[in-house]
Amino acid sequence: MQLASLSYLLFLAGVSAVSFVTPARARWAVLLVASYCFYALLAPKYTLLLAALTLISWFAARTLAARRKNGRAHSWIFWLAVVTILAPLLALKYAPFAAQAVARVVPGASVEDVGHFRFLLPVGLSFFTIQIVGYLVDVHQESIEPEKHIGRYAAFVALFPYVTAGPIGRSELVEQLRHPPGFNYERVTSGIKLAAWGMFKKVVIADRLGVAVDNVFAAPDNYSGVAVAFAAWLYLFQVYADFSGYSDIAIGSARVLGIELTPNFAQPYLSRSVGEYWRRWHLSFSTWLNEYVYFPLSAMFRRWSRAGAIAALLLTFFISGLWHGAAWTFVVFGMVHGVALVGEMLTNKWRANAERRSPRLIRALTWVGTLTFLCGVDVIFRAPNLGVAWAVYRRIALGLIEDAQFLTAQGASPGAIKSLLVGVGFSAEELVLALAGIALLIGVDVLQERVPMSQRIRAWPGWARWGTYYAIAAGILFFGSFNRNTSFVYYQF
Amino acid sequence: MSQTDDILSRVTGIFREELKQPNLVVLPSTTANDVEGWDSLTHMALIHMVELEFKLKFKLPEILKFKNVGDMCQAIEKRLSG
Repeated sequence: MQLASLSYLLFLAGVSAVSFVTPARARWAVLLVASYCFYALLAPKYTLLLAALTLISWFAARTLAARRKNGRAHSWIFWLAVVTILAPLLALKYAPFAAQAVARVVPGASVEDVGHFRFLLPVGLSFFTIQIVGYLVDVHQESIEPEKHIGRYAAFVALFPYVTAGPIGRSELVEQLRHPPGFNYERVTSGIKLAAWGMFKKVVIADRLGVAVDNVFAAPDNYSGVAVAFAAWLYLFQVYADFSGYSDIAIGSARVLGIELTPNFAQPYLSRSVGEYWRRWHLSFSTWLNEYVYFPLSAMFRRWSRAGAIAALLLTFFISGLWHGAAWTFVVFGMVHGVALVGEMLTNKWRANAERRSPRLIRALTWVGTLTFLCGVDVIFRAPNLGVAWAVYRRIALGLIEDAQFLTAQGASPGAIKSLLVGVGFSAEELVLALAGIALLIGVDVLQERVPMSQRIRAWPGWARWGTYYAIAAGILFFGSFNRNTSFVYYQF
Repeated sequence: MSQTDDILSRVTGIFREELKQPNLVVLPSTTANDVEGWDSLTHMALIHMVELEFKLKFKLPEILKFKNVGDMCQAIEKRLSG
């Protein structure tokens, strides 16, 4: 059951109705049962794994807190629990990759030898594993008290709006599960509106852009340089509309049920540096990385001063890349971001001085530069392997020279430009719709940057407010791309 | 000079030297947002210099709780008098 589907909407409506008529003290049970049903429908074989990790972490957190209270050694319980929780993820996601990497360098071993290591990765494993690890760290560092109630803790780990792809639940969320509120018109309608906007971003914008992106990335050599560069640019917006759309549906659904999740995006494509981008993109993950990976690593390496901080940063982005997937593309993706961030940190003062001298020019240049960088690196993120990523880069570089020669010879008429985009998978109408979708996506972000859209819309007259709601609903129904069987990009992680 | 003032004065000296800002004013309420150059790259280096100056070693949970310079100075004072 996908979040952007009618069956999910019916499921959410049913769970909400049951939750609202259930007494507050027992609502966690409704959420727990619903969440396990939801997960069992998606990955029946791995429901037991989810339950086992929940039970182990709950028991470990309680035990280490009790031992600490009694003045007994407890750190070993924390480390044992963390290793145990990480073990399934390491075995199912990374063992085949590690074995293949070893097979490439060990004489006599072949890559085929390790084929039997391949398993189907349980959906959401990467997300709920690091959520549990974060919870254990918080209990170990005494930032929170361990949850005594196993049922509420299990609901916190498996809550259906976020179990598959986040936003990664913060430990403080357990508190909200004590007494989830009942029906509240304002809150429920606010959640529905956010989820509807998320659905619009997914089925109207992301999936529409995905048609061209899929075609071009499947065989970049068959397209002109302009077409391949255009597809790489479209992917930048596809992945944002897709993942922020998913996040809005998740946050909106949880809000309907009375649970407030942390936002996952803060207008990332308005960033003027890679550092700023990571403070705006996939916030639940970047915050997790900062608190549980970068900060402890930089503290551990502090005797090496700035070199220690740089090493911690690079290691953090290496882990970030690997978390996205066990493939060299993701490792390279993470490392390129890490190196860019180090470069920015080392030139902070110089860039600040330049911006003081000519603020408008530098702001425009840094914004365009950041988007271009992200577009370039996302090619590696999207490509199935480094060979395809290289083919895309090569085709853009060589193809653009050919295209320039072609346009010089033919004249840059609309017909000549159109001929360069032949085969991308867009008719003229679809191209207009795709570009309008991108303009809407970024336009909303520009407005949102100053005042939240929900607040803006509340201040509009009734006809404009309702007109917007109907337009979103009509957009989903009439322009939604429902024919393609597309899951969310981040489901694969 | 009280011990609290002495700690703040020595911490100020470290910040001025490490961040190369000889006139920097550091108050108990000062945070990374108030000081140019105090970023995630220099943060732990500053803490390490403070540890060397006062011959102590902070634990990670302690560092996590530092919200401003005052929190760090309090932690130092606690260690020195403990």
